[in-house]
Amino acid sequence: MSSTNYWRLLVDRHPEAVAVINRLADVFASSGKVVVHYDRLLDLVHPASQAQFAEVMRQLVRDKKLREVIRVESAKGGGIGDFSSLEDVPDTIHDWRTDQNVEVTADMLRVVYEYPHPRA
Amino acid sequence: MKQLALFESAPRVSFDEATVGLIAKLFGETTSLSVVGALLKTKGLHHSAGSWEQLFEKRIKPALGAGTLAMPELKRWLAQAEEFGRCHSFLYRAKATVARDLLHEDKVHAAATKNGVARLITNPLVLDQPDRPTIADVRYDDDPRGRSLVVKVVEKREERTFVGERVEGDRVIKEWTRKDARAVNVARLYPSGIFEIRVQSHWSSVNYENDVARVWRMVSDFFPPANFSPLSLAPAKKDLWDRKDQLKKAVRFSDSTMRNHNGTTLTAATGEEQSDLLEDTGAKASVDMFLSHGAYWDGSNVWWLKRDESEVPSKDIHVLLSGKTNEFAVTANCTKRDFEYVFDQLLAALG
Repeated sequence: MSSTNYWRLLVDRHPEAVAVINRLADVFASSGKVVVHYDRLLDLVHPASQAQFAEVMRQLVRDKKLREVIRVESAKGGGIGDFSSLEDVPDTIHDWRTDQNVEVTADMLRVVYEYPHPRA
Repeated sequence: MKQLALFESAPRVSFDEATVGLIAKLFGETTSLSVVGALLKTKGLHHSAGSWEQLFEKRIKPALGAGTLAMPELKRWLAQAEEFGRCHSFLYRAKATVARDLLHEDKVHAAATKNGVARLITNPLVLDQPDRPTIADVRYDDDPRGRSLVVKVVEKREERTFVGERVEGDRVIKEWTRKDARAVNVARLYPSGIFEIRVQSHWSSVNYENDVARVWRMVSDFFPPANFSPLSLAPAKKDLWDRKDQLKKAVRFSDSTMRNHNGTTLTAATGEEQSDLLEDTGAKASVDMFLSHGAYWDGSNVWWLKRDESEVPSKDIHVLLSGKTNEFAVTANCTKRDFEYVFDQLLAALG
């Protein structure tokens, strides 16, 4: 299925979220690989309803259009581990950017999306 | 049958079982079966084994007993396995004339005697976790950079691992477990005057000043500190970035941190471990722009890449060029060859 057709189908499935879907299509379809935090997407898409936005994002992940990971970020900046869920995130992790084991705290976690999905 | 008879009648060389047992344990902690197997193979000895126990009981001990492998050689192999990788190195420089004087056998013997370790020159110690930091080896090594003097200090350290936290009433209690760990530290001096203090990495610390001071105190009779000054790696960090396009197949950049004299810091960090900062044209341009406005290198996170056309490095080697100006870290265990490759690349980048 072509990318354009997919976004059209998504609008058919979620007609109430057409504005959000169109803005997401602009973000993801306009360049090559995109890696972006959830918060950044909120800034780019500025959805009227966060619940609606979250549902569209869940659909994109279920359809394997987006890869979603919980990324642990180093205090120095940059990711040091990707996990598929919060439950998988360990209490401590080796920060290879500083060569030390660190306690993982909530402020180190980001929900990150990658488009296109590497397995698409 | 004739071969077996010959083997059984060959003179047996005695060896210290306890020392060999300890070497087996330490090999298991520092390297892989295949690495030690490969070393046996280079001597034309039987080398296949499915476990460390098999390797030692069926290959190494029989070779020691038959005299086809000598204990000094086994100890050298252990040195190669345990002294390289997972370490933070600090570089210094002395005048070449001073270095050559310190490397003289008479000077080395005098320093070793003063420290009660003269016997180690021909017979290094194999130590697990001594109660106090202990000089375990004093030796000369030969390599293309010249004949260096190596003094090894083995110590026991406490490492802490975060376990978790719990709430008790109005208190949040965090818990760590304490565990003793072995650390191998090395001081090495070349005739050129290049001096390295290599400290085994901690799991939970970035400040190695105390470790460097402690190791240097122990080896100060061999390498009197007043003769040395720190050798800054700032020119190497600059050179690597300046030649980044030429080095594209040899080096991958993960993070770059720069500062300027306004006190501003700029960091460009890749999203993932495998990503290359140079593939991000915006980040690359930002770094170049900041540098062109008088910024200087603070830290760099680079990978020396395995290439098809060369045997070294044998795998991608991650190197941190951060912390002190004369500090670099090889964060994972690696072979001596791979470490020396990185060492040479850094010295070359210094110009």
